[in-house]
Amino acid sequence: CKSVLDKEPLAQISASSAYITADDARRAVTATYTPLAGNNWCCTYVGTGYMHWVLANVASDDTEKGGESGSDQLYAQQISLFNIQSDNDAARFAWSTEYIGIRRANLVLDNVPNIQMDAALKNQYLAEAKFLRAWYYINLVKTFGDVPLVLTASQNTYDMERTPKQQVYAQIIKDLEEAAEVLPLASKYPAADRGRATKGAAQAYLGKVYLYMNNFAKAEEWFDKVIKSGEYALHADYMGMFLRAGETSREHIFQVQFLNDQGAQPANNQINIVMASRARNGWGFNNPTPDFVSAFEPGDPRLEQSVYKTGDVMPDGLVANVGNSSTGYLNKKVYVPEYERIAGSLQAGRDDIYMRLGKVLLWYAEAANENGNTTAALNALNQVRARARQGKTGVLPDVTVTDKVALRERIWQEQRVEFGQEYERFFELVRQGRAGKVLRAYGEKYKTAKGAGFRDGINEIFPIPQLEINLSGGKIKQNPGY
Amino acid sequence: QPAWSQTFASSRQVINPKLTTSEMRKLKDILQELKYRYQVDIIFEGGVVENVTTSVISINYSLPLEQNLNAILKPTHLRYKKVKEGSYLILDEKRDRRKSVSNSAPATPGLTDHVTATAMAGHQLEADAQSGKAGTLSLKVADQVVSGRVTDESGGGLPGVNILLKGTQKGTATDVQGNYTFRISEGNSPNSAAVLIFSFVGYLPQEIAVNNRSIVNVQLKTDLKLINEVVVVGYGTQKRSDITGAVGSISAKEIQDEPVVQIGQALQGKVAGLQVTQNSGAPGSGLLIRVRGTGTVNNSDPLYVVDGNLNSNPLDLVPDQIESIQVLKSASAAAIYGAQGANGVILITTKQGRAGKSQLDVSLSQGVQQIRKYFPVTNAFQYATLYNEGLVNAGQQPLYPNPSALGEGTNWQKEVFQVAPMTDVSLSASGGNENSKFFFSGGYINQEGIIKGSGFNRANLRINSSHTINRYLRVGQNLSGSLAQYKQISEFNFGSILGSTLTANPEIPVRMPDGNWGYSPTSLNSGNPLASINYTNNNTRRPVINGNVYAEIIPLEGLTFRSQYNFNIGYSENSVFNPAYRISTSNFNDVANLTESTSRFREYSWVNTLTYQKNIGDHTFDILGGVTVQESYTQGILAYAAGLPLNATQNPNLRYLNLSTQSNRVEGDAGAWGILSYLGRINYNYKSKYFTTVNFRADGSSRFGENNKFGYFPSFSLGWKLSEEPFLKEVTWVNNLMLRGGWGSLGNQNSLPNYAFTELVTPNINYTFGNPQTVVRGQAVTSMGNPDLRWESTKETNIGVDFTGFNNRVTASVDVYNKKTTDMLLQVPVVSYSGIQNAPYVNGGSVTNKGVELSLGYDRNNSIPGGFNYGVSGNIAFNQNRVNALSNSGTAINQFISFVGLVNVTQVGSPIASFWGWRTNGLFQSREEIAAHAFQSTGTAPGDIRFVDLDGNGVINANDQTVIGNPWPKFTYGLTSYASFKNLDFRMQLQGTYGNDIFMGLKFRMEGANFFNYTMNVWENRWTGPNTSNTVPRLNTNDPNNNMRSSEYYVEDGSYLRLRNIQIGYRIPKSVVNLRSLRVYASVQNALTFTKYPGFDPELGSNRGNSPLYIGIDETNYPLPRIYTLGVNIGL
Repeated sequence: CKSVLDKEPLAQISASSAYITADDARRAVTATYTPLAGNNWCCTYVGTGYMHWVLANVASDDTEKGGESGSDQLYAQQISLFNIQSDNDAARFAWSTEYIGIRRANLVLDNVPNIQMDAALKNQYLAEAKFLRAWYYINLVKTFGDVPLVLTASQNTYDMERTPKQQVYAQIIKDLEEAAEVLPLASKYPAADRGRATKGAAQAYLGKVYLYMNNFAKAEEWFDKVIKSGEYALHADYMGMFLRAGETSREHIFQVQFLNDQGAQPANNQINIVMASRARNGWGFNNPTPDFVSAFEPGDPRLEQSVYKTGDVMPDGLVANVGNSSTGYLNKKVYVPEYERIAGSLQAGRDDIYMRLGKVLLWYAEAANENGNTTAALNALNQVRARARQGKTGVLPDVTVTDKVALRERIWQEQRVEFGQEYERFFELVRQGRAGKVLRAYGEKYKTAKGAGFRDGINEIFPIPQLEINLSGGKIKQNPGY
Repeated sequence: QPAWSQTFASSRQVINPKLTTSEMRKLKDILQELKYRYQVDIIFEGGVVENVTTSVISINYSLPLEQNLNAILKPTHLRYKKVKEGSYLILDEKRDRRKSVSNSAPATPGLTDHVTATAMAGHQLEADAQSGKAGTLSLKVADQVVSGRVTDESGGGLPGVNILLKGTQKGTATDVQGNYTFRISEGNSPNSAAVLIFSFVGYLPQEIAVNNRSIVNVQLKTDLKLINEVVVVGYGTQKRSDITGAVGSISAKEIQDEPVVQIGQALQGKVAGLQVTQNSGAPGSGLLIRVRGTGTVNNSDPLYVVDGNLNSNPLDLVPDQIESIQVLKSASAAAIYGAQGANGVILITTKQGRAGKSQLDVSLSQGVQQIRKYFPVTNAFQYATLYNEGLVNAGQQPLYPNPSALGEGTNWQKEVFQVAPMTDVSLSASGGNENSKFFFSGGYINQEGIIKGSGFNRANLRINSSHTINRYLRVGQNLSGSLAQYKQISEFNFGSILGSTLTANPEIPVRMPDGNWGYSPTSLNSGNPLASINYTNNNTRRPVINGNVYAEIIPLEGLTFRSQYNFNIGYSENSVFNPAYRISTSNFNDVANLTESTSRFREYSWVNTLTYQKNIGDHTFDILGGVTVQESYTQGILAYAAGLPLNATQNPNLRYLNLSTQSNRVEGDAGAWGILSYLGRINYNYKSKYFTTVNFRADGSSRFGENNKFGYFPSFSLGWKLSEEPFLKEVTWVNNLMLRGGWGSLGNQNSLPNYAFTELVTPNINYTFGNPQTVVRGQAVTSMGNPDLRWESTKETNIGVDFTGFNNRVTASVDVYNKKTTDMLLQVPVVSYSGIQNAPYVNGGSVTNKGVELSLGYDRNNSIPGGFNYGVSGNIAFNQNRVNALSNSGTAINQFISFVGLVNVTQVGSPIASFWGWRTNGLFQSREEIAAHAFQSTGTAPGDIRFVDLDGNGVINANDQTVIGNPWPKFTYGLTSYASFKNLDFRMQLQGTYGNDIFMGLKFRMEGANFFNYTMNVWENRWTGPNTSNTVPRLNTNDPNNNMRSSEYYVEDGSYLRLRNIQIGYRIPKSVVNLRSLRVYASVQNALTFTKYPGFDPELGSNRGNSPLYIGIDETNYPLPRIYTLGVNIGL
């Protein structure tokens, strides 16, 4: 009768036999990337995601929530109004998704060293895991401030407190530096490995992290390495780099990759539906604000490549209808032309570009300006403006201002339009110490509740999920003001 | 020589032409038979004939009684003595000698028939008989003959009915045709005053005055509340009145002719403490059945046992084939099912063949179903007006320049709902002889949905047979096969066809002028539900075979070994085809795709039990021991492909996977579990007065960790039949009064998935790499196992009283229970920063259900055939549910629904799945009120909902959320009544719940200014200016106040009272049609519903089958239809 009571799991692999071969190592690393693909929506095939479009876009002055109506995705509405409850779903999903990624990285770092396999490949896998762990911690720390720093998956008890932000940053820097040391250059990867973390990506994120820490010297140093690496180049066609055809652009440094293939499992990008017009079967979220539109300099070709309105002729020749967009605009960077549709779906498998040379140049410019390297700053800034002209003359003249404060303003302005709707704005405003000022001014100017509720010293970060506080028995403390 | 004995003798010889000496039978039984066949009194003392057997071969019914008695008693030490005409006494020669010394000793009552049970010892009796005290046995021969036929309710002749002349011991019995002839001796009982008593096991006795008639025909009525009814109790049977646990019983009579496809539907309101809720009105959809509340956050479904076959799915069972149902409610009653009984046990016995003339029953019914009530929503003009209002209030431009030009628009509910037929045809045959019996049934039911595009049908076949091979061996089998087919449409969420029917923009026409499906170029939020139905192809087929074979070996008197092998085999195959279509730019599907999935299951159990029944003096024992093994295996396969030929939209022959051109995907999984059990039970009673039952079961399950494989589940119960005590024995209005109490422990192995004890790798955690891109497979450990998992167990104490009295007309029963689930298996959410996605199961919770159940019935039991009869019985059950403990302090288990978010929590101190959110306090009427109130949002304006600042900190935030409603009723109740007069009969059933709340989630879309159609509540009651409303907030498409967050605004009273079934029938007399029986009837199901709930239907089960916590939430579910049925039952 032993056979009655002892049932080995069917159709499942036991954890004890999960880390034996090089293939197992590869699969474990692959799964560490997967939470990236949950990005931007609550409930994809991946599970929850870090909703960049809510936390970085909707929280800012660049984007209205949109969607079916005001009550559609209440958590996003709360964030738009800064009336954020401690059980806010966007905060909850962000917290849990990033820690899922961290656990998977930790599983790789715990188990892969024991696997008998090619040493170089093993080191690369470990470095990828370190990069990804850092990537997830960056999102956590910018969203929540102090967070528990978990560095192994074989922890028996979870009764941690929040680790001070500086310590988390120190770990992020350590991981990224170790990753940068080992990871291959983008060009050294075989074609089949495009999308993996590269040396350039680790360096670029080191620069970004130092920027978040207001360490402009270090930021400039790391961004400089990326720029000088010769691996990356600005894509001539601004909009083209966001289209499917532009996915292999040399401008891209780190992107979350998608493929609309139902074969293995759907690996499509939900955000293309989330932000598409309701007149085209989309959900109509993420409506660019008139304030964002007016931030573009006259004649800046990037405006028409960043947003669209009803009546615009789209790259596929269709005449746009933005449906019930509350601002009259939609985000063109995720527009799926008819020719990109796969199986009739708007979910074209378009990649989400998180780090690209355009961003690096402008961040470099900002850091250089703060460090007094005005010439280098102007040079980088004007490279971006030159590409933005895309051959058009008489627009976007080179910036020549050398006053540090004035140049800082110019760079901030350039950042806003160059990577508008690209999941940076709110955290940029916070980093630059002007979130409250800008957002309340927005509420004032447009006579709207959006942004008006921002409270300085509180809303720069989001609430720790209430459930997490409850589960920790009070060991995890809430952020002040929530 | 009466005619019947001739008939009997000849028929017996035909049946058993060769009796052999091996045909030894108990003398006691033979004497009873003689007594009955010759209509004489044969008096004997229990101890005298006990353990005496004799050969049957010596009996010849064509001979006089004395000759037979001589032949039978010859090999024994017994003799007979003729006391008087028609009265014989059996004497023990040896004992007589002893007794003559010791004088008379008291008899041993309870061991023989009713005559001797109350009689004194032989000598005394003999003396009494001679002196005429023992009855009016003196005869004066001046006989008159009465004859007639005794029939059952369907008009069939009843053989073997006892007929007794009142006030005498004289009587006779009916022959196999149900005919009888009886001589009444005039002197003692003049024919004019003679009263005959007709009695038969299972039927109500009738007394009929002869009134000088020579022909008296009688129709006996089934005794529903028969006090000595034997019921199935799990691995055995027991006398109903001797049961010491809490058991609810339902017979076939009580559920017949109801237009239901599942047995559960017919149980609604019939058993106190059994809560039945239909999850959906979609044909063939599931039921939520709870016995005494919900004891766990895990699987809370009761165990179904069909003819001893565990885990038969009630979906595959045809109500027509059911003979009786026992609901084992208390732990002491269900304890014999150990690890599978914690949620109560529903024992179902299917119909078995009866000896006698073969009978054929045909039932036909045809129903017409319609929606009970349309949900009041706005018309096109009202909709456009409200839409504009919401936009303007949000600072935007109105969309509709001239709402009144739109007029009424489309009434989508009228388009989507239809009047639907329901057909039920069944045919059953039964018959056999004393050695071999069969029951055969076949049927077909077809129920179209009241929503277009939905439907269900099922064909089924059952063959039950049993054979007595010889006195040592009995074998039999129950076999059932069914094929169910479903056509489904989506429901239970806002975007489903049903959801979109309610919310569809009435401005959209069903069809455009060009004949294509209608759409709105202006409003892009809602689609065309009729088009969606048209493009839905979701079909399921479910062929299932289940049943059992068994053998019973009776090596010794009272000892039975039974071996039964049960099986359930089947699969469910589902095909979903999404055709390519284009309705508008926002409503299309360009690429057809097809998903085919199959879920196969096979399960067997082998049950071996040994039962020993023994009476020793006043002590009666019934001992059971057994070993059972059960194993289950399921496997799922799924295949998906896209790019099917475009004309597959029209042509179903092209909907096959090999025609796909892109995106193939396959999936598969499997699972198995096994359970090995040892069980034992002792039933003991003393003088049929004091009862005790002790159960023990040990269960080992593969689902539990190595360290705790086995669970042990003991129980005991005690009963005291007060009605047998001297002080009540003489109280004529008490027929039975039993006080009983018990305690038991049960397990719930369904609380766990198959492999929770171990850590598993989740495969297919994929990511895209490469240029060109390709999906690369990944995997990760996402869960944590727990090898220490213990059994979730439920312990319950039950005290109850059963009463039958006033000539068996009144029945009453009260039960009080306290049921506590401990070691509740929980996936206690671990801190998210652990990164563990599937939280490990731990034994970490406790839930209490406390309650009182009352049943009361009155049955007039009129013995006059065709006279006025009626009965009524009601039940009410109060239950209180509370979570006592959850392992992590501060933990709650949360249920989220789309859009609204968190709607219920399971937390310490509240009932399971309590609704959760903000309390409300009317609407703000002015800016001043907003300023005076706690801060809600920067956008809060007059007309917005005022939420209650519970913690008084001046800000409305997450800390102000609280329990805002309870999905569990305070009590549930039911009432059943019948009446009959002459050939007419009438039945009525009421059922209801009280005190439960419903979370009306659909308000999010229908009252939240979401550009969807609105409820009339919004049109009539919304806030449009100071003091215009204090209930429905202003419309604002931006909803800056988050009015639509989870709050009391959603919570509605879910109490209801429903007239479930009302039925009137007419039995067509034989004089009109010469059939065994012919009855026509008409019924209305769900005739009336009284409720304050504004939605479609207050009866809401669990819409997400896998989540027991998804309770009382209305995200639009399929309303129950009202069904008008005409039917006919034909007996041949």
